[in-house]
Amino acid sequence: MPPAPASHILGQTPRPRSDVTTTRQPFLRQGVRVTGSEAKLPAQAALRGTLGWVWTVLGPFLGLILITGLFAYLTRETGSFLTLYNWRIIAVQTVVVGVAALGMTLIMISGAIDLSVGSTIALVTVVVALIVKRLDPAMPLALKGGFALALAMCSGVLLGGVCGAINGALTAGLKVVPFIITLGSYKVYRGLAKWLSSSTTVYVPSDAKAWWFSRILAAEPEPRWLLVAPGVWVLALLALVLAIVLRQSVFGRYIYAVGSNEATARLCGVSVPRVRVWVYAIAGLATGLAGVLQFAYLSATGDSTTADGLELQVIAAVVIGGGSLSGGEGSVLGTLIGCLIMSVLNNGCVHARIPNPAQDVIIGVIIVAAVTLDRIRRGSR
Amino acid sequence: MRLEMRDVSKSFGPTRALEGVSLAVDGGEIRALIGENGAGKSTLMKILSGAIRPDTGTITLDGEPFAPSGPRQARDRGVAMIYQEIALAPDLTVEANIMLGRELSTYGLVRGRAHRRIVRETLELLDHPDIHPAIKVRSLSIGAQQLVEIARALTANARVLVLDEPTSSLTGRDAERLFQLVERLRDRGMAIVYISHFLEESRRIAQTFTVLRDGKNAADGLLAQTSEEAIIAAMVGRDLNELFPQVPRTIGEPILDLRDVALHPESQSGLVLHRGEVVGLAGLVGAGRTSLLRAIYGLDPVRTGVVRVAGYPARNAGPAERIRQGVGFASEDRKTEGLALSRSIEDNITLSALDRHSQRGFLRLGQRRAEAAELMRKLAVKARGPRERVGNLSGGNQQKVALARLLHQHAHVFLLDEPTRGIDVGSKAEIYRMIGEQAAQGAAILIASSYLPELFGVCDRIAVMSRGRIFPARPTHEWTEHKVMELATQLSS
Repeated sequence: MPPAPASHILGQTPRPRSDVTTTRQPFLRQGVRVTGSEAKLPAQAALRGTLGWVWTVLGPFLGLILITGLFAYLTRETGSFLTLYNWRIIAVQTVVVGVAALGMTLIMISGAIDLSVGSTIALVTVVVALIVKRLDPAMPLALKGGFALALAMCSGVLLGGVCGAINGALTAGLKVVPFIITLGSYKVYRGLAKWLSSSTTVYVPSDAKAWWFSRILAAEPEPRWLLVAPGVWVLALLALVLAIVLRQSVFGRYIYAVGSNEATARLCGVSVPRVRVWVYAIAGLATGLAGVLQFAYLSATGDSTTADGLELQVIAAVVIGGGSLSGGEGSVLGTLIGCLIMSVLNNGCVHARIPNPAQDVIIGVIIVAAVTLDRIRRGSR
Repeated sequence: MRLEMRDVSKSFGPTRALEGVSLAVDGGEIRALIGENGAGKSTLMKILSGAIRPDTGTITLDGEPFAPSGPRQARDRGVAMIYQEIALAPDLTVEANIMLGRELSTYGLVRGRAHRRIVRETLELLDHPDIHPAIKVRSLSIGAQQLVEIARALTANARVLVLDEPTSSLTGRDAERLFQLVERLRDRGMAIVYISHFLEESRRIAQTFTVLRDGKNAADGLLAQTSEEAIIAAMVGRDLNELFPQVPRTIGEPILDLRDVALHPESQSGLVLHRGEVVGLAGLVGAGRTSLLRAIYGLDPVRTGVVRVAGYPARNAGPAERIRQGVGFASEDRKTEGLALSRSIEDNITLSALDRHSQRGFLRLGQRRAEAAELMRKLAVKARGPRERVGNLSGGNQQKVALARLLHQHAHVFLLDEPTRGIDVGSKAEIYRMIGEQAAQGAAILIASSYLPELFGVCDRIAVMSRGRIFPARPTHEWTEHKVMELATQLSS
């Protein structure tokens, strides 16, 4: 039965509503009591409604500008920080965390968490490397140097999706909180990676690398009209797709609904377990893609120890970008800004010659400060 | 449109929640469903919403069998529920909430324009075009949120509407608007079940009524032809004197002085509690009764003024100091605040005064258990023993454990927030008896309750709160339910 305006029960077509006007009571004119500002300024309320997402990423965006300004000032003597080349490097350094963080954004909006991101990435790099190593020598001459690599990279993305789907199915099926399930898979996936690689780094024969492979995350893009590395474009494209899914699709609304009030979503006929499994599967595909990009970043090596602790970096980026651990909040744009803040911090500290231990302290403080400030800002609304 | 339930029964394990209950409502009728907490109203609602299935009995909609397998199906058949607690996703917009679960889409993408049109038309038909569809529900008032829920029911083609205590968090004017809206829906042919335990409110809105007690039909008829006393008697199922045992007591010297405490800039409470006195705080949800009790106990800051406990320095203190001064507080929310459900009865009873059982930091477990067991006997807590998990107990026994804690800490000022919410009549009578006994032994008791018969039954004086303002307390016999409600809703615009 398609949803209809309430005319069926009120026994009239919505237009013309002459008979409604006659039954209008004095109280109806005054309308319900809406909280302060909206009652006074409906236009402003409407504007805030439609531009709400801009409002939510405003804070992180200002933070990004502030941090950029700070490092520009600290490095004013060498001037090495504010160069086009350096920003291309920052963009490339953001790609792996960014792609994984986009997946995590979906998961966190739905009110869940994924601690197995780093392990999944390591597993993907190992499996991709192993596939190339086995498959490439077996390829006919015409397909050598590229086909096996492309096939392996596609498998890597799918493997990520499978890892995610397993997390989701276990959470929904066993009814155990996501934190515990993914804490388990964090160990399991890492263990599998070590097992498959016999705990050594898996190298790919150099003739198996295609001409395009080294360009994926090259700081100087080739051809030049790309402006940034192809990997950065992959991140941008994924962000665009996920932004549309979250904002425009029915599935996106279900993700927000499940994270915001699971009981209500169930009440309205949303299949909560199905949403959860799909969210993890899609986020897993993103993690798989991040794994493939990490494989490229490591110049085609499979490393079972790579991306250790990356999940915490990813969660931090989502939270800095306005995501909430309790679900219902978060946006693609916010997450991207959160990732950029993290990369700019890392990169800026190097340029400002801040020693490594101090970097860790600074990043830790910034995470807490960012979230606290965001809470105060929201509370004041 | 006619909804009919015949001989519906439902058991949960050994508990019979519903036993042969019948209920019918026609299009154009508003039927009040009246009953105490635990009478089976919410089980009945869950059956109608498809959340659970009845063991026996039939439900028909216009003669057709109605056995929804879930909320979605109930909605598709035109039966909609408005729950007491707002069931909206706060982070979603008004439009997304109204269309949740019934989105129109093309290739998975929401048809936003069509959504906005439907939502706007529905809100206009409810005469509330002022609620903007793109606003997040979080930023709306409770009254507006309830309208969003009703709009959601309407877009889902609802023909039967069940409202569960919908005014419990509304201000007087919002409640009146809701009544007028519900009446308009009735006039257009909707069948409406209105659940409430406010008799006056039921009279205001409904024509027919059904009373449930202990899962059975207790009375049925036309409200205009039935006296208030008859309905109360049917609800409670026992003599009122038996429910509110009278313990003789004398009023002593002042013990808690709140004269200059204020939650509202223009209103000092002027309240002084004496030994041997039971004072009630009436008001709507959100009137500030809970805030006042929490401020006295030191859980929330006191905005202005000073809480004075006789014999101690006059200053605003935290809970630890209040406990030492003999002040005890029982939270309205026993499940998440009042009790540690996963811990044992003895742990819960003794938590606020553990130092009584400790020696150089070690607990004397035997002494502690003996005292807990003694208090359990005194309050007739039904459990296997002091080591049982509190989470395993029934609501009434949980509440008795929460109150036993106050006795254990030797409180002589009791701050009780909704002490009998959601518990059975037997436990209620025992709690009223305990309150009376404590007052007779010289304690002062301040009770916040939304259940007026209870305040009238146990209190010496009643004060009414409205939007943070406290009206002077007056002896109970000077009040009527009507006067209390008038004052409680008076300033609420």
